[in-house]
Amino acid sequence: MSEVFSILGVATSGMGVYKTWLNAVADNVANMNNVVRTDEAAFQERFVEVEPIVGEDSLGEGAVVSGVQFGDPNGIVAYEPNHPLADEEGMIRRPNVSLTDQMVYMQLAQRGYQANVRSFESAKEAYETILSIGK
Amino acid sequence: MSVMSVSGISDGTTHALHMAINGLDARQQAIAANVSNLETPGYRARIVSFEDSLRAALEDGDPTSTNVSVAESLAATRMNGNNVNIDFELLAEKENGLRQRLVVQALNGKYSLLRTAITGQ
Repeated sequence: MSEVFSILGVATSGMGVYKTWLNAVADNVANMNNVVRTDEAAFQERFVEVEPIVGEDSLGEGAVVSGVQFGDPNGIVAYEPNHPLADEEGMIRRPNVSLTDQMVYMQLAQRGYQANVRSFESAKEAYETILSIGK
Repeated sequence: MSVMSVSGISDGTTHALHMAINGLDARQQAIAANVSNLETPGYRARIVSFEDSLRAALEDGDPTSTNVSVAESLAATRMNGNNVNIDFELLAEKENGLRQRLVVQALNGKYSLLRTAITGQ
């Protein structure tokens, strides 16, 4: 255990990860209907990469966002001849983002965040118990 | 059972309780790490055990030789290679907190005895 009250940091690292994931999901949903010309790249879905932080004592010291991956830039080419951005063949390009997937990710991220808040609170209670030694 | 005595204040009981707090603290950290990696692909839940070692150490008369060991859970993994079970973690978290309170109460009982002996009141 590296420092005093280190478990609070472990729980906070988890909250950070799920908050980043929620941000990515919100970004994906906000941009899911961005239509572009067929000669431009579509909005790419954001995927958050996470890895565990392993301490010296192998207990684990939480989780951290290690990077981001991007989805398919080709998106979906659709036929909408009346669209102002349509090319000569009447095609436009829209992002390949599934709202169903995003809703599932949002639920997972939200529940994950809540679980870490609980973990933080119970670590706090445990420390309060320890601080009452000798009273 | 023989009890080691270092000074007038610390004895086998306080050492054993100290080791128990150490072990419970390590378990609390493992649980927090498991919860923070709830959806991390490929993460295996960590399980802390020290009770058997503490029991053996007590039988040998030296509670300070207790080992806190960390193992990876062998539970079945989900599609993403992760096997953290949130129900289990929440249950373990609550139980761990209660055990910690129990140990601290025992330690406080011990100290209040000592205080009585010191002050004579």
